[in-house]
Amino acid sequence: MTGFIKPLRRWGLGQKLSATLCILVFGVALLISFFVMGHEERALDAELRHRGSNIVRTLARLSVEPVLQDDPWGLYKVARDIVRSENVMVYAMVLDPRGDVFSHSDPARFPIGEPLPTDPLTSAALTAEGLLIQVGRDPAGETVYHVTLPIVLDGQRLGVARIGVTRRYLEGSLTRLKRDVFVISALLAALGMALGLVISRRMTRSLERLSASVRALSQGRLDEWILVETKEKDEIGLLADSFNQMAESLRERIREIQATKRYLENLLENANDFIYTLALGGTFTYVNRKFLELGYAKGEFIGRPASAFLLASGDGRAEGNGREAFEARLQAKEGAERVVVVTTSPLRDNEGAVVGTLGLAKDITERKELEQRLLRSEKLATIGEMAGAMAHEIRNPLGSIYTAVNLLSVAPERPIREEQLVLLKTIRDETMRLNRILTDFLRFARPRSPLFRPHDVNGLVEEVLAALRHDEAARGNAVYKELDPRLGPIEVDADQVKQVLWNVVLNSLQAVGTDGNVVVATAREDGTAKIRVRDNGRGIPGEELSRIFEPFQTTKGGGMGLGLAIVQRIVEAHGGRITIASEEGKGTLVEIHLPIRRS
Amino acid sequence: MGVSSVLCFTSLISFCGFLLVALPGSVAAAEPLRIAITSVLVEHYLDVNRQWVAYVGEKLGRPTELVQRRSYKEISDLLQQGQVEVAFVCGLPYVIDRAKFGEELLVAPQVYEEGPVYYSYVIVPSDSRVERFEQLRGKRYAFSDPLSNSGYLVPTYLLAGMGETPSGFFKRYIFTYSHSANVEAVAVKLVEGASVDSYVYDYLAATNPALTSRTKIIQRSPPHGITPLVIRKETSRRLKEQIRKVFLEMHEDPKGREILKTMMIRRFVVVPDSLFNSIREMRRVVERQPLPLALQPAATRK
Repeated sequence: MTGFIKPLRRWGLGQKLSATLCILVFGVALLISFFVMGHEERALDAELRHRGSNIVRTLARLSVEPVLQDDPWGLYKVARDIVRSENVMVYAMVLDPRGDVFSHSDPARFPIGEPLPTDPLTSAALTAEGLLIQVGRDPAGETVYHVTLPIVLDGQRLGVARIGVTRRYLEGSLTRLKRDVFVISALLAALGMALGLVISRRMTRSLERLSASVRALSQGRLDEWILVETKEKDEIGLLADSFNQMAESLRERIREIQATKRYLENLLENANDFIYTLALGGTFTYVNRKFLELGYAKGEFIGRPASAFLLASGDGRAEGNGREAFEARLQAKEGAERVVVVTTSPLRDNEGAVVGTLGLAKDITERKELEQRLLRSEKLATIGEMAGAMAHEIRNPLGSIYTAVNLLSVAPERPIREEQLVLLKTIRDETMRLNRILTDFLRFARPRSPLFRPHDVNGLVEEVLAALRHDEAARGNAVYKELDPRLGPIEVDADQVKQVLWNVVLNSLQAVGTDGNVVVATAREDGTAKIRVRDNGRGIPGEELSRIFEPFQTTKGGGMGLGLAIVQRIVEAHGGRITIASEEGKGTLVEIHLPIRRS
Repeated sequence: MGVSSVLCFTSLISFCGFLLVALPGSVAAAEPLRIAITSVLVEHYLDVNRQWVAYVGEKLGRPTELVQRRSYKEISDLLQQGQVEVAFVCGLPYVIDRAKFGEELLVAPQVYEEGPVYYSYVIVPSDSRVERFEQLRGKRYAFSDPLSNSGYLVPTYLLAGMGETPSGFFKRYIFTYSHSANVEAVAVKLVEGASVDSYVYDYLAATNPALTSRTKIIQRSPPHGITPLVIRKETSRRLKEQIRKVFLEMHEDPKGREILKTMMIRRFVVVPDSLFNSIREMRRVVERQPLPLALQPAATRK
């Protein structure tokens, strides 16, 4: 049973409805036909008995005269005509009182004057006193009603009229009735089926559109969603209306959610901090766009352990669940690593179970540098105060020494020896050197504010290079100029800029030795005046390079190591910036950018 | 009652009789001419009979009326009583009535080439083993009318020749009062043999071969005078001539010819009384038999 029903469940609504209507109509038709045919059969049976009785009465009445006249031919005609006139008739006959055939509708088989073959039915018929209906069967098995009536005139029995009526035509009409009922039932069933199909087609058309819309909605294809329109306001129509409202509001909700999601993604993606999520194993599951600044593609992070990129200082861990911040370094593919402060928090699912880590790393590289610079400034300021006071104190006796040595060597009271003169000169030179160092020192320790006036930077370069030609340190080395004539005048403090150029070019000249060369170039670039000084000298080792602008850093004898510290201070005071790139054994490049317009 | 009164009464009767006879001729337009036939010849022949009766009236210029009776006896009575003027009767009733009340021959149809004669056939079912009349002994047999020449006199004459009577020879015999009924009775095997008028049989063979094909002729009698058209002796000579003329000229008239064709009659001819002498002879022979000639229409039963 289940095996029979199971495939039916897969039927469409139309098939089910059609089949139900078909079975219903057919069943009702069969039921009706069963009752109708039963009734019809009884009615026809009664009709047949009634007709048989009437016919036999007619035969008996018409037989009186031919029997009296001993006219078998006349009687034969009566019997013949009765049999011919009624399709239910099998035979008609009249028997004489002895039971011999007086006349029969089939005289060839039942000759006149011959006794009728005796059988129980005939014997009973011969002695019948009144109307007698006997039911028998013909050789073909059909039911035959034998109807007998005595022919009586004035109380005298003249003979017996007897007829046979068959049910064959009754069966025929019943068969026709059955066939008609079947055909009509089949037609009605077909009509029912067609009707079912039509109704279900109308229903399923709406349902199919509903279904397609639901599919489109469920797959997120919001634009493919169709408005389900139904003219009928039946249950399906109401369902379609409800669905339309639901779909409309759902679409609104989904759009809101998508907008919110985009907004949140924007927030995350465009945040100025490194935001990431980690799986429980500590591998990246999400990184925001900020991570691209490290030079990697997003795909290079996803699935890889955080520890490969995030090096925590101390005991902080990228996948930790503590809410305390810790400092760490983020490895960059190119360029300098970033210093970040990381805060982490557990990432939970809807049930509250921890499924990973949400991390936020704030880039504090700039702040860190600023802090160091401030620290350095404070240190320098303190040193400057002390050293300034000291230098001032040293300078006065130094001036007395210089004057005294000058007097001794220019107008001695007594002649002095050559050796003594050399010593005096040494004292004078060293005194001058000390004075220069002190001047540098004071300039660094007590910088003066730049005095901006329009100056031609190219001219300043020319002046510095001309002055350098007389400096012994520059002697024997070639300095090349590549000056951009479009540079034009810019507002600078000429003395301070010359000081910068002097220091930088002199450094390069000292670095190249006797067989190198130095190129000084100017150019106008992105609203700045760019001054490049390049040499092919010995270069600066990495460690020194990182601390190159720190004061008192020197690799040469005879200086306090304040040159580049002063240069940086002046450039920054001009609102510009200075960078130094160097490779050991190949040379160094110094780039100075000065703003053309002063705000 | 004296002689004079007897004479007077007789005269009155005669006058009345004259009136009865003469009136149809004198007040021709009012009285229809009555023509009688029996159904002995062919059952269901009514339409054809009406046609020729109407034709005669049309030609005479006066109404005619068809009077149909079952037996020759009834027709003879009508003729004798003057209730009909003209009748188609068999040769046997003619010779009887001629001797009895003097009816006259008018015309007779010519059906066969030989002349105004016909035959009596003995027929049996087509599948019967009977080949000769003598073999019908102890069987069921059908006659037409006890006053029919071909349907009764000829077979009883045959039986008389054998020293037999119908009741002695046959197991059972019946009268159908119709030659066509005889054919059907044989066809459906109500009887095992029958005597029929050759004209009727041949007419049926042409018009209803399905019926006659179920029968076969085993014996044919010598020719006898065919069923004539007779008229009352009392009918006026003028009317007799008028009527005779209509019949004799019928085959020359298109409409008459059409009717004759339907009836399968070549023409009508004037026949002498001697044509029926053979019937008179047979009757004489049969009447010598101890069995009286059945003049009543009741059949006997063995």
